[in-house]
Amino acid sequence: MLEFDLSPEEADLFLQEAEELLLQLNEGLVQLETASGQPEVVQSIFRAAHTLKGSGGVIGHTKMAELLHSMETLLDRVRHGQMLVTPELIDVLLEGADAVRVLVGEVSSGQESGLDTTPLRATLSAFVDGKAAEPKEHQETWPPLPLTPEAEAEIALAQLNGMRAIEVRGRIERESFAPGARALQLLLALQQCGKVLACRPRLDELDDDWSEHQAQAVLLTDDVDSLTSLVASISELTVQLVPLEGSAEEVDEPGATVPAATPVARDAEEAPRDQEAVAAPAGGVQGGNGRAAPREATQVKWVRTSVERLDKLMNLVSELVTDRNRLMQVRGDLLQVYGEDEGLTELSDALAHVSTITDQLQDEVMRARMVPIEHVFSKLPRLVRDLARQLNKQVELVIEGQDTELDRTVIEEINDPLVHLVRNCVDHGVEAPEERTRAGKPERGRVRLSARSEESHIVILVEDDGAGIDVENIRASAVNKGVVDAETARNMSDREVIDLIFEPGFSTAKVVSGVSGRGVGMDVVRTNIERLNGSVSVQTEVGKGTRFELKLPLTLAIFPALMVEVSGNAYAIPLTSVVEASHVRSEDIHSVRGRETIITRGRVLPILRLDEFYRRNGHHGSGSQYVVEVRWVDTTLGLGVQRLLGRQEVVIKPLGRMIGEVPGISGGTIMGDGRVALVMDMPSLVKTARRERSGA
Amino acid sequence: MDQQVVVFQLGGESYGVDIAKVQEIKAMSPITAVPRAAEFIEGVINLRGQITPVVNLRTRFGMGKIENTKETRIIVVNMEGEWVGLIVDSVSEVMRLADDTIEPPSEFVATVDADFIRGIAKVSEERLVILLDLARMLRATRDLALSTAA
Repeated sequence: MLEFDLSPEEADLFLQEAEELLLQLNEGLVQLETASGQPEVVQSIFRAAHTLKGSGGVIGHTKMAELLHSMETLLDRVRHGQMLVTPELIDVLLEGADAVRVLVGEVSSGQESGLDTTPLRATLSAFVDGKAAEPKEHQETWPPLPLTPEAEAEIALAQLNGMRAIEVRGRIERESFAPGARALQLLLALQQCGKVLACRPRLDELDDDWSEHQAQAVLLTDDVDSLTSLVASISELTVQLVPLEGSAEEVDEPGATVPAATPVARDAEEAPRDQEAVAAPAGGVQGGNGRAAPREATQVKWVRTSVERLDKLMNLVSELVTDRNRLMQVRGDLLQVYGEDEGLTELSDALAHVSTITDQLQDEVMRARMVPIEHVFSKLPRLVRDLARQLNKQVELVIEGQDTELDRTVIEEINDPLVHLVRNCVDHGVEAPEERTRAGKPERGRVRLSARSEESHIVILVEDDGAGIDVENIRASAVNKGVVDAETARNMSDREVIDLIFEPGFSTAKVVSGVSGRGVGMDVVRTNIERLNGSVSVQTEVGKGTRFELKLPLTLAIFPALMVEVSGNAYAIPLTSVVEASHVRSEDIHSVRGRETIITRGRVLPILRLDEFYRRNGHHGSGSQYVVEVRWVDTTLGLGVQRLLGRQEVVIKPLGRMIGEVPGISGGTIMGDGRVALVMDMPSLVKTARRERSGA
Repeated sequence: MDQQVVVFQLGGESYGVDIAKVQEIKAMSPITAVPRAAEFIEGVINLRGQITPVVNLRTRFGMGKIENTKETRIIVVNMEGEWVGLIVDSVSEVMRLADDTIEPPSEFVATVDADFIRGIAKVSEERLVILLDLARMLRATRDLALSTAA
């Protein structure tokens, strides 16, 4: 048992903070690799490591503090430009971050992890000692440019007029044969875009003998766009723009970006949040860019609250929704008995108000539980980077829509499926660089991850521009593995064949790699997503790439449903899967190859009589007077029911361990009259019905 | 040490369960049938907002179903933190049993499997109460329910 110097409450705080700092560290490191030397990034990594070291020291976690000290020493070199950022350097620092995570884990578990940090610390100091001197020539520092008092005043005035003061840092390639000419080009370009308040070198210092590789200037401008496009056109030069707010010291202020072609964000709010976070070269990736943009500027007061408290609140609201439904029912009953009565009208008014408030409360609480999907996305750049390096591939990860919000419970559940899909894209989708070159594609593959909200659900796309899925391969492989027999496989459409990748026991990897083959297959992805009342589908084109589309509900706890009656019991059909409901007469029902169908809107719709599907031993069906058309992914089905009971907000609850899983049922809900209705589960209903049909 | 048991009737026999395990005793109320569940799972009820499964003990022990009467009760018991309702013919009383009246399950044959009996209390010359090992019976019932669901 390990003892640390902190109370349980302090431990919670420590763990929370450590988790955030580790995330910052990881993200920063991955970003650093692609945007080397960017001072704000190095600075933020350094600060994260430093703070972590401090908190480790405070609680008496010497091992953790020592390790972070070694990392900090190395980062300090990087910060001062005395160390070149290489993939190897990032590797060892990421390894350090992983080790810190293990050590932080010791605090939560109280158990010694047995992790020996000595070798890692030795590697870290080897980096510091061995390589610190070597890249001397690459040393790069940007001391602030001295500004005259007049210039300072001019900046202040110009800022009032909506102009911006920007420090421009130009790096001229070492191989350039005429650095002086490039510096001159830069300064001339700057003069075109605004007013140059200070520069180093000065124009008169520039001649053919000038042989440095850094040019720096402070510029006043209101047209950052032309600035960026102008400097981008200068060859042998990369430019970094750092907003200068007041004093030149505030370099870790927002917005600065590399390379020159990226526009400077106008202010912190507008920073890359809405933009694509596009990654840069070196077989690595950058992403979660929105994270890097500081949000200090947002004037919102935040309150930290525990997840348990929010869950409790949600439970209470669910109870309230149930009781509201109940009250509405009672009101209806009273109205039938007493008719329009003055007291009843008053009751109705009050109830209507309570009802509205309940809806709003439910909405607000649901919103409070929403978290940006960034929480899941932000772990992926690191994953892709590591994978790409491991597989000797070049992969760029593009992340979009990381601000899209989802219920916390849904977020927790989609992490594993997403990780699996992204792994899959890097491992099986994107080809090796040589192969890509042969196919006439850029060496660097691209994986795109995006999220957007759409009415009552969220759509997440995971796409790659890789080799695509070869249908014939799948067909052969499925037969080999006994997923389907040869006869069936021959008769399946391409779509159906591609869907086989979601079947248990199917994996297309030629060799089981340590990357994708972890015993988790696409079948688990589908199962997990469907358990959430979501769906997953795949589109692919050989040579072009593959796209997975996930559709997820915004929340799991409360959703609208169509209530129906089957054999005297009430069932709730989630409204998201209902297309329409209609009355049928027995003569409308036709038999097609032994299956009951009806024709609706010119299409043939197979009927599943729920009283037969949900038969109980010895219980007989009660007939179907209505058909509810439901859709699940590609399947459309008419559910035969006895009666329609209307629409209701449904709070789903488990049926208890005694009952376990029932095909076609995901749980129960309490209705207005206090009775229990069963909530239908579309994926499992469709699947079971299909299986039983083909079996019969 | 004395123990208190809730005594109920099932197929003409008296059974007792530890009162500490009993949450409440309810009159019959509408039960929502659960399709494709094991036959002895009568369905689910709403117990103060919690969905609670209900087991018909007659069906469970192969005693044959009878029509519900005014006396039919649902005994709600605690199974590993969850509530489960048990339908019994009637509940007669709460009884305090002295330890020396309790005998180990002998060759005595009750309808219920001997595995689920933790003892026989001899209340009087002509009256016996079979003490159920509730936890064990519920576990076995659950396993059976999960394996026989279609």
